[in-house]
Amino acid sequence: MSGLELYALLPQLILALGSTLLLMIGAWCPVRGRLMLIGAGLALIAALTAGACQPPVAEVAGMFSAGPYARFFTILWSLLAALVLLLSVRYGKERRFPGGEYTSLILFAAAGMSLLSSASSLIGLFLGLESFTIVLYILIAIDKQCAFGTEAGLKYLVMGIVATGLLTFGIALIYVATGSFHLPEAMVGLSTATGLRPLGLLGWALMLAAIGFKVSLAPFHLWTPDVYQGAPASVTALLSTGSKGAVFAAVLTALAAVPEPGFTELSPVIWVMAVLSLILGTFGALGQSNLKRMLAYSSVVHMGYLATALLAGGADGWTAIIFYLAVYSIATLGAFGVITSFAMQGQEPQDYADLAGLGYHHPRRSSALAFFLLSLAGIPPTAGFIGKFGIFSAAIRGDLWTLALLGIAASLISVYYYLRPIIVLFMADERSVCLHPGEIWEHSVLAFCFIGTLIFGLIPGPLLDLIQFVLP
Amino acid sequence: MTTVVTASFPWLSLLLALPLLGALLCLVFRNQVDECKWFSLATTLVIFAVSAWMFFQGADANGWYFYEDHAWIGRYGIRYTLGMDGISLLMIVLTGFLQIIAVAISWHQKKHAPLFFALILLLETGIIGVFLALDLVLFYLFWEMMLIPMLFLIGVWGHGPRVYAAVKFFLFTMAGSLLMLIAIIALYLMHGQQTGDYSFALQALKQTEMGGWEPWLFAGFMLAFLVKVPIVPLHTWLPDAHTVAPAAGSLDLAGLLLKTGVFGILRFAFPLFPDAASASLPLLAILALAGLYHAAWAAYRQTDIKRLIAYSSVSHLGVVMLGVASGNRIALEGSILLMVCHGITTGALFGMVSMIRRRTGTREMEKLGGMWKETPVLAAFFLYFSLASLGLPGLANFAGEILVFIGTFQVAPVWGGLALAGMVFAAAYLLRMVQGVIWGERPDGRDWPDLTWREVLALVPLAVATLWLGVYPGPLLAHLHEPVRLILEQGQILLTAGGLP
Repeated sequence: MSGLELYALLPQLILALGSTLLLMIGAWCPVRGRLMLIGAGLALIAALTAGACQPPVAEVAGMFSAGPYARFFTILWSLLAALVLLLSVRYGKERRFPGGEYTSLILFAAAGMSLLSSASSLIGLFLGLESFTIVLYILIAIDKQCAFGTEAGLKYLVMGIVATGLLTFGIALIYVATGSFHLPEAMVGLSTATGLRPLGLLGWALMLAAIGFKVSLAPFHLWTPDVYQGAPASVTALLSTGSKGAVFAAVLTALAAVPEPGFTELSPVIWVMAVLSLILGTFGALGQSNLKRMLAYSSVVHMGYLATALLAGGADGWTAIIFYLAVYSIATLGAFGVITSFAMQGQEPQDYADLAGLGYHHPRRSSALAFFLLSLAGIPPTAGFIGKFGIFSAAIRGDLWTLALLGIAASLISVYYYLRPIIVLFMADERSVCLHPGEIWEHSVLAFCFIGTLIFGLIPGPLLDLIQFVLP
Repeated sequence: MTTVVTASFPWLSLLLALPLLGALLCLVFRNQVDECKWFSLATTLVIFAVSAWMFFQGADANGWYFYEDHAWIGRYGIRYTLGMDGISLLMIVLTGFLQIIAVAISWHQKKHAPLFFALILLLETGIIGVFLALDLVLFYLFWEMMLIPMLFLIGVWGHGPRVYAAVKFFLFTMAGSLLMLIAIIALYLMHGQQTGDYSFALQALKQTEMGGWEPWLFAGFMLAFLVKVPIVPLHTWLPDAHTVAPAAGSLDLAGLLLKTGVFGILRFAFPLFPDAASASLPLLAILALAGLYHAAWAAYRQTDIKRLIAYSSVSHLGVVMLGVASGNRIALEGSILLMVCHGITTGALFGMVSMIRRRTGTREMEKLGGMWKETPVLAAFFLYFSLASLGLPGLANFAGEILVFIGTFQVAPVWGGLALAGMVFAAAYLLRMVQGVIWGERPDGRDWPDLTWREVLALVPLAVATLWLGVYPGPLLAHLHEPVRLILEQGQILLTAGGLP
């Protein structure tokens, strides 16, 4: 690996080396809060580097791209890591997280997500995916005192191993069919002319199943509610946004390399996954009275929307996916951020009953939570509306009428389950006790997410143009 | 009336920004309750002053009094286009007027008053935006923006099963809106594929060739609007919402939100889909008449006076829709005038119901009575507005209703006759209400105080407007001739088919 290549990989190196550095520091002087702040600073530096430093080469070691697309996601996930760390400063202290390990793991997860989004070969994809999945196994169960956390970690581990197996086998099959791991070649090799195309398609089908596990597309979504509920809220924030977004980013790169006419044979599979996600996620979310579980099921529905746009394809569909990923991540991070900032002595208010009447004790954060939920429901003037608008517009353009109408129905029902916590916050007759007033870092993260959700709802133009620019 | 104001100063954006600003002030100074009330009152007064000034401006050659157009989301071809024609002008004057009353009758509000006023002002932004938007996505944005404040107004400040009513209101309107969103996107894509110009501008989309899709897209738009109007059988959310809503919420709901539905039909559904629209007129007329009779009958059976007035709204909107469905110039002008009149009289009645309830603690007719002796001023106002609502000549509703009937008779005498007979029912249920509330024996209990000076101050402008609209609606109608002509001519088939069968 040449010096130029290392320089092109600088943002990820900052994240990964920073992570090891913090692990060392944490071992000698365990100052939890300060370590997290340093970690957040490192993540911000990585984001700045990714934005400011022009990569000298387009590809690193034939595995990772350093193009604008990769850099865009590197910035996104680095920012996410920084925000998650800021959210954890007080929360981590109260739950007695090991500061060094926690910070370094979050940074490492960001590095993994960034590598996954930059993957330009199937090996890169595998490396990126595994590096942050392994980190998440630990992070989910990082509170050893919490039985739910341990259970969630175990569940995620078992499911994750199955997914890894499927992924590896799928990659192997594609390699057999085409003789290459590198992305354009590995996909071009599957064009209709070659005799080994069926093998490659089987490989893709296995990969789709693995991806379904990772992003919790139905019918591979069963782990989602338990893991969301059991994991610490700050980790759930990372899990529900970055880990899914990065997978989608990698899938887009892989699909972009597929020559015309694309994988028409696989479309029905994705179609079925999208339909199932929309239906099962919706019905799952309806019955929940636990905020984290509701968000888990609703994330399944969101993945259904993304799969819809994936089927629609084209520049429209992909712009819609990336925009949706960005605004979904901001709103979801905000929602989990509010839960984190309410936590007292590590106890998160998860049940709706805990939230009763909080709108009048904590008006700003409750309104912010309501705003994030409305954004997830796709109601203007939030960013979620523009996101959904893009998805539906791509779906109709791609003649996916069934999915578009189903998506509309799911949106309508989603209004009901997103309104329930809002109603509890503001319209409940009884009042729950005051929760933690939150501290400066938590408030700034929430303010950031709030402003982002509002700005991208009112002025989405610049972000859309940027996405248009970075598309592979 | 001839000066044309060039779009140098963004007056329309100002109309949108003022209530937003007021709402923000209320939220920022939420600990100073009294200041918030005055902020809100000042904001609504300024908005009304601006809209009243607009009333005396003239239109340009295209019928626009004011017009603004800026790029917004370039990638999707969404623009920030606002335009005020004669119909939106009247609706905005009505909005400005009613919002002052809404603030005035909520002066006693104790529960989270700053938030309450902020929501009222936020709602005003949404309503004004709906009346002004000329870009379909912008319109959709404002259309949805009306929902959230209303949800909270009903859900937080309502009485009884408020959450149920609030969610029902939200889901009903949301269902219609989402279908409209799909129709908007489909229309946009069709237009883009035909012309290469991807745009949401109302003006551009009017020329879209839709073929077999037209009825479906039209249905998508109409469902959104008809839920809001509301037309039977999509009306069930309305009585529930009114029963629990606070006074200002009911006033806005009946006075303004219902009008956005009819307005949407006139501004978007008819011009965009002229063929489907003219084909649907008979069906609309049947629905309108069914609504008129059904709601009148339902109103007659109510014992809760607020619910009674809510049903009377549905019934009146039936008359409005009949005027729309007749496709006749006079009837259409009458419909729009009736919307303004209905906004004022029904708004006043809802306000008075809340005043009665605060005195007596009830809205049930059996538990009321004898107010004429006990509280003469209140009773006099109540009688006055009830008579206006049932269409007494010389008071507001009569002017609009008579135009609708004249127009409908010209094209379809049978329908006109049926509607006229329906008005007898209106007289029946309203007189029954008046009799139950004002006359008869009052039940035992503590004394009821008469109106305070502040309440009188809120009611007098309404009473004056009611009289003025009934006696001299000419200045309002003058603003309507041009836009109504445009609506009827753009859907040329409306004229040749003569509307109703």
